[in-house]
Amino acid sequence: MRASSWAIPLLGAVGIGVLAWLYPRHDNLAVEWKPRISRSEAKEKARDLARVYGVDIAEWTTAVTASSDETRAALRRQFPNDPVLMSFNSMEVKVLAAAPDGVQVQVKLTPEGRALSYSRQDRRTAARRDEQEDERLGQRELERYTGAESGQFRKATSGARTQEGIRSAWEWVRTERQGILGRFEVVTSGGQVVRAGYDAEVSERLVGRSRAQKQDVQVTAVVVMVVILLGGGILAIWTFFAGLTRRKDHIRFGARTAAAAAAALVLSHLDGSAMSGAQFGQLAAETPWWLAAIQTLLMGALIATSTGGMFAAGYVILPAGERARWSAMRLLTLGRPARAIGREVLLGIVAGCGLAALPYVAGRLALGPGMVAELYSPSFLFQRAPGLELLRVLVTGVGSTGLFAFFLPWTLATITNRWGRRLAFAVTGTALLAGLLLPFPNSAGTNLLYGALMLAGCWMLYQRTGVVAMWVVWVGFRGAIHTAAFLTSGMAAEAWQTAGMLGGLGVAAAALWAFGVRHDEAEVAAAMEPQERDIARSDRERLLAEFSVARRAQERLLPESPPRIPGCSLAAACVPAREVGGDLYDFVAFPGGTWGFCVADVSGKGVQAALYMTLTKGMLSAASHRAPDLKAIATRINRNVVEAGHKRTFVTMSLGTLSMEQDGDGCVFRHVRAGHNPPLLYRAPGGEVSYLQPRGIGLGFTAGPVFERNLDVAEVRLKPGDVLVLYSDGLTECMNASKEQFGEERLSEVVVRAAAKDAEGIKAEILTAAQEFRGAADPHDDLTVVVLRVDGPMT
Amino acid sequence: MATHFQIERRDEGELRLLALDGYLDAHTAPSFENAIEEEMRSGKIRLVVECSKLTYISSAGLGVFMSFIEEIREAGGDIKLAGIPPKVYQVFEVLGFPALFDIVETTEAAAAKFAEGGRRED
Repeated sequence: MRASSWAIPLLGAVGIGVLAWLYPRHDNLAVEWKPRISRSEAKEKARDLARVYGVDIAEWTTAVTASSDETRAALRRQFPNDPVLMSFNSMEVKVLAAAPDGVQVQVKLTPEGRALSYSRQDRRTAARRDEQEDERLGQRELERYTGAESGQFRKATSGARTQEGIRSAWEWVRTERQGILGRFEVVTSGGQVVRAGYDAEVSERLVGRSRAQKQDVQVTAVVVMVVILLGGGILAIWTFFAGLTRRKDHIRFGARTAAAAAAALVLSHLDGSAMSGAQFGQLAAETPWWLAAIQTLLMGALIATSTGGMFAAGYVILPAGERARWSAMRLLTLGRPARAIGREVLLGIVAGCGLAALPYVAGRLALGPGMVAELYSPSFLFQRAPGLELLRVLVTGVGSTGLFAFFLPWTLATITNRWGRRLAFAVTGTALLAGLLLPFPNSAGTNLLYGALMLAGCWMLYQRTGVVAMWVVWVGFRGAIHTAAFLTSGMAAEAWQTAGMLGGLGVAAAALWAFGVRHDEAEVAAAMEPQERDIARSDRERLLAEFSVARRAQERLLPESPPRIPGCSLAAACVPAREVGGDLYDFVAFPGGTWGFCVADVSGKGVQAALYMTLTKGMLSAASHRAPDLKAIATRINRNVVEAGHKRTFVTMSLGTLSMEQDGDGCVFRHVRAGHNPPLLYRAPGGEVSYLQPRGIGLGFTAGPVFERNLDVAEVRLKPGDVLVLYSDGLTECMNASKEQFGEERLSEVVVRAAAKDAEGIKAEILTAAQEFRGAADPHDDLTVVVLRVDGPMT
Repeated sequence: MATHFQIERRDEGELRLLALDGYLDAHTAPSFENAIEEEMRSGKIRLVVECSKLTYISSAGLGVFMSFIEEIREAGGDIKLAGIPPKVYQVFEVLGFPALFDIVETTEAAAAKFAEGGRRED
């Protein structure tokens, strides 16, 4: 497992720890709303209350929702000692019950479960003319709702006849504070209570002042969100359709993504909530269940389609360099149960749980210990099946998912200036992530800090995983916060369900990671190339696509690992530059225990170079069946390269053999240099470095006898501690930003410094030194190194 | 990335002189290639490529020399290289160019080589 695979769970666990510490102190739900009733308790309270009024709602369709009133919350903060305002939490729990015959009952409760209001809607009943106000009933109801405070109330309206019935009202007027007043109303009809409710009335003068404070931040956020989401949506749609002129396979990709999203959506409705239409906040009892289900699912299908479209738009413009981050997503759309998918899902969920700490961290940093964050509307507390709801995030989180699925590829494909691109992504990402949740309605700066932290966290995760992780990360994020909310509200069962859902997904993903299908990175990358039937592209693009196919084919031509030679250590690496290039290294086992080593470099780049490289590799393999006669091998390859035609393309090659000598303890390295960089020889006891430069012409220049005549074979006897380095000019001509070359001198210094290590160690030192020297400059050529070190006597 | 590369062409008695200046790599090689092609088309096949201002040559640049030499020699001409700075010469040397081309210090020396008669293809 890669180191990063451990780092993510570790950071995730730290995040969960921080969340557990900060959430109970800083989330609005734990600080102010403090819900103490669960869904079933809320339903029970509503049922009991309705029974008092002679209505049995036990068998009715019910829905429980909750909402918070921003204005009331602001007033409570403004007048923290007002007894009327303190009787009302800014959160309300609403229980709706509907009978098949159209009668509806609505009960509002405080988060602790105290009844706030009751109302029954029944179009058939109307006030009868001869009815009288029932004084005793009114007093009883006042006490039921206002409790110990009922003595403070004075009657304001007595037995008024209305459409609903006989209405009476009581008011708690206070002289010390003008403008805030408690009000209780009860309406009876036919001796039955049809409506009763306790509420606070606040004068517009007070409301207006507290409302103004919030509006600036929220209005700005709404405007920014509309601009980003609408703009992004239009851009994605345009990109999707514009892509059709070049390829078609993104349609299928998008459709399968949408299908996956839709599957998640259907799963999330397994609790039956689709049938009640309750997630739209109202209960339509007169709508048949199947119609409600169709409505819900159609709405979901629409959002699922936009999710698919977003991914497809990103996919169609995805630069080749970004494909590795999409391979799990590609495998998902191919329906392949691949390990890579399991890895990304698991790490995404774990990281998401950890990232859930960030809003609170940002708030704590910016606003100090008194801050209160507000992430989700409290309705989620009363879902039918709390865990299932998380799957819906895969569909509804289209905005945040789109940031990595579409906007990132779009910036990569469209904005050529690196800093411009980074700026666009950072600004948009920060604003989007801050605005989507807006945890701090009062403080724009704190929201932006949260957005920036979240973006940084997501970016780190994305770098180590891929776009699937960026899709599921919000499931973890939301799940962790929901679990924390249930735990602080004492709803253990719901907490277990939510955590169980996360755990279940995690375990399933881990199992997939462990037992799934291994995928071949090259094959998946190839699957991202449009097939012939999918393309309608310009020649240039087709060429580029072919290049990358060639590049991958080429990389596979390199030996997987160097051979084991007794007494020696051997290491090799080829660091490809961006284009198709022509570096090659190979090892050849000659008959009789002689080993051959080769580093070759085809001039130029492109398909031509790749073909030459393949040709050279083939000819070298063919040579392994014959005697290790270096001159003969090089001459034969030269002839073939010349015959291949194109003199502008030539090959330089360093070809050596290592063989045991009958007589002595050492081994002999023989070497021809067909125009290639001279190999470095390090001599052990004294540490002197030399470059072996026997005469030799590049392969492919001339087929005449001049080639063979100018080809010398160098021969050196190697002793333990000696080091040979074969390399391509990509190493010595490796350039830094100020156009200096790495050069032979630096190479010599590195080898002298690292000579005591084994070949692998020396190779690593060389690569590191070259990399450090190059810095941020673009590699302009392949870089190949083969290191041979004689560690002990060859046996 | 635009790299500086210029070719100055002039007659030098019987010979045609191409003085290279700057950076000869994959980006600039085509202009060098065109220059040689033009000379050949106008029948000028006794070429001296003067390299004293050449600062860098990549494999693509080296390939240009190879792509015309055979044709020019068959027609009885040659390309001779003059005044290569030591750093650039290293590249020619590693590739084995000294075995394939006459490489001399000055254009005068190149002229003298032409006077000796066509290069013997050995």
